[in-house]
Amino acid sequence: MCPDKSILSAWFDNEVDLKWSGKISEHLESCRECSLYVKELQRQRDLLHSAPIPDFKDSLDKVKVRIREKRTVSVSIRFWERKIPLPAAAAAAILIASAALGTNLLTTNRSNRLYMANENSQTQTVNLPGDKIDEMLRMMESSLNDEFSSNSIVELPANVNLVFNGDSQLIRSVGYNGSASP
Amino acid sequence: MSNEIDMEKGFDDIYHQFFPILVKIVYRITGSVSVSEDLCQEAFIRYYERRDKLPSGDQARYWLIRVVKNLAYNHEKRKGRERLAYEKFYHEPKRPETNEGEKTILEDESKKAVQEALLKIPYKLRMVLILKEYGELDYKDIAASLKISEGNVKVRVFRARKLLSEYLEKGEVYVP
Ligand SMILES: [Zn+2]
Repeated sequence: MCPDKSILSAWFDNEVDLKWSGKISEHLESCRECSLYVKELQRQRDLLHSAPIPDFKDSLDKVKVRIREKRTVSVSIRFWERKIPLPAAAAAAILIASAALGTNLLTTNRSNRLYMANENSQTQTVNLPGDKIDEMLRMMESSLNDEFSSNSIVELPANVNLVFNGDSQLIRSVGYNGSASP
Repeated sequence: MSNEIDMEKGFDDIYHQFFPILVKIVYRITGSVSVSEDLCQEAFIRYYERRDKLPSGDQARYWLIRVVKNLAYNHEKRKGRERLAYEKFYHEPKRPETNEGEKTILEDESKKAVQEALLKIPYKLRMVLILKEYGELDYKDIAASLKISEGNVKVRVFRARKLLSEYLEKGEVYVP
């Protein structure tokens, strides 16, 4: 009796117990239908491996540039570790508060930069150009991954200029003592 | 200091060893040249940042494949959400993304058909077949990385292969 095709497929991947794989090999010698199926699997595998893939020759250099960019940012701006001048702290607090309230002040940010930092003081700071909303969504998504801490903070650079929007609720939630927690 | 240099070299080695594997995996899953370059670079940046704590050799391969698989999955999810939003707004189905504007690497029609057929296979099945064929992982590793049973891997590989041959036949692709 012929083995199920799913078993032949597993046998083809060397994923069948030794005891059974010998029997299957024997069967294949004498069964035309099953051996044709296995040949078909081999053809498919060859086809998959002959299809070309993109060639990224200078990609290692690009990776290193991206690594250096990230480093520069995290060295130059360790936001929470600094004594921050009051306006910047207020701006950051407003931003955090507005994020928490679901409003969006990010688009008014003229300096065009966003920083996403990992909460644990290991300073994992990532530079995002503010006009690349896709990039930012990707970062936010990956921050949900288990490789990241669950607490991510989106911060502005210290020297940002914000237009004052005058929402009393926002102002109340700003602690002018420079503490970071929203 | 020499330790630092050794680490750089170690990183370069890992990169040269595994970047081509990651590219194959992501390109076959997403079908996009620019997305695969971006996601593979991202995976290596993450590896670089944690390289003093991470394994080398084959364990590094598992780690990188796991990261890139998650990145590809997130990409897929976002694409799905964007399509839904589009359809809700325009009340018409969004045409599938093509690689127009990207340098085409698939000159040969039959090779192009392989990629197109792969993209037709449902994501869950496609991922398993691609991890098997291009990630050079066995069922046990695939099961662990996708948090499914080995039996499930076996079934998905089988079903993906079946669909792939069906799509290739329908497209009247020449299979040597
Ligand atoms: Zn048979």
